[in-house]
Amino acid sequence: MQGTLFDFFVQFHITERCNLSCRHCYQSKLMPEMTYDEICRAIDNIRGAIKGWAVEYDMILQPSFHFTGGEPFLRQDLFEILGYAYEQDFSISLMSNGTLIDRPLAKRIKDVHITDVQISLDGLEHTHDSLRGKGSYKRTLEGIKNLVAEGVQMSINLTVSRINMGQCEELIRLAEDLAVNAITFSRLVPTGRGKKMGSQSLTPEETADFYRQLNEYNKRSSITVSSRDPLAVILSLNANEEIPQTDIPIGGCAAGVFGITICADGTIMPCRRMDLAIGNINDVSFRELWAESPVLWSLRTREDYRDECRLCQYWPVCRGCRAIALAFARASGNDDYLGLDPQCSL
Amino acid sequence: MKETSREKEARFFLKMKEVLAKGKEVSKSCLA
Repeated sequence: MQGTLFDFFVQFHITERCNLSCRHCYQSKLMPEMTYDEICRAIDNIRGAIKGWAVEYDMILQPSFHFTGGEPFLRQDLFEILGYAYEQDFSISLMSNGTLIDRPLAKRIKDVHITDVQISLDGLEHTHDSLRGKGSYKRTLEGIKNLVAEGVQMSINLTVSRINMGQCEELIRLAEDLAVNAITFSRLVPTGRGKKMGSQSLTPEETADFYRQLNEYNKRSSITVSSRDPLAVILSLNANEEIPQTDIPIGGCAAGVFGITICADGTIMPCRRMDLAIGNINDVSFRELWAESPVLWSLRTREDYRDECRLCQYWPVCRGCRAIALAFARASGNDDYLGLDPQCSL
Repeated sequence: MKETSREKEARFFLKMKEVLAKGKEVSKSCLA
């Protein structure tokens, strides 16, 4: 294979409607959603940019679309959208709360070309229900069992906070018993409805301990136990691993570097949890926006970061979570998304 | 002279291509 491989992904929130109302959700108010035709045009817009990059720079793009909501299964045209994206050569995955996935739906998911379904599970029954609503745990577990029974590649994702950090080991055991492929962990981002939960965020020391513990669980578990959180990735590196000192990101936070988010109404954000609108896919050429957006450029530019992050040897492969940096900055009355990740202990 | 959109794009991808070609990608990306 010739050319340079470049993974690029789009997180596409095709609806903000949801059958749950989770306390820690990053949504704050419902936004209108694009029609099927508008979504197809958005996919074409992004595909045009990717094709252009591939030809112009002799790169092999491995583009993927991660479709989510809200709850994506509330859209009646979900499978048509998935089919269209697949036909345009994107690999496709889904993120859902799992509560609507009965056996026939799981079979339908199996029959389309989905690489992975990620289901959110935020604790043992009492904890999960206290965050996501009474009865949701049982329905989510049913959804997971239906997906596993149909042989769908799937993972469980847990949003970690002080509320559930102590349940990690039991949840890994549960995930093993359910025979899912992986259990992954993300940090709480106190934005949207979750803004009220800032006090439940882990301290830097708790975050580091939690991720070190995950690495140990992963060594012992029969399934993959991991986190794509940049801080977790850094903590899993060998102590003597040499970090290439590039002035462009080569890993870590993907926002504006390896990926982008499209919201239900077409608003483009670097990341859905990073509530900064930089345009609307219905009004702009995505290729132009990727090249021009000052916000995206700042996320890629080492000099633009505050000292604590800019001077860190791990900057090229980390940069922490920019959404959490922004959420904490806003709680302090400013919009500085380029400051220190407040949960970083390095 | 003002840098054009295509020049900005090239600045990003040529740099990215250079580091990726050296096999320097050491971590997977996160966009939750």
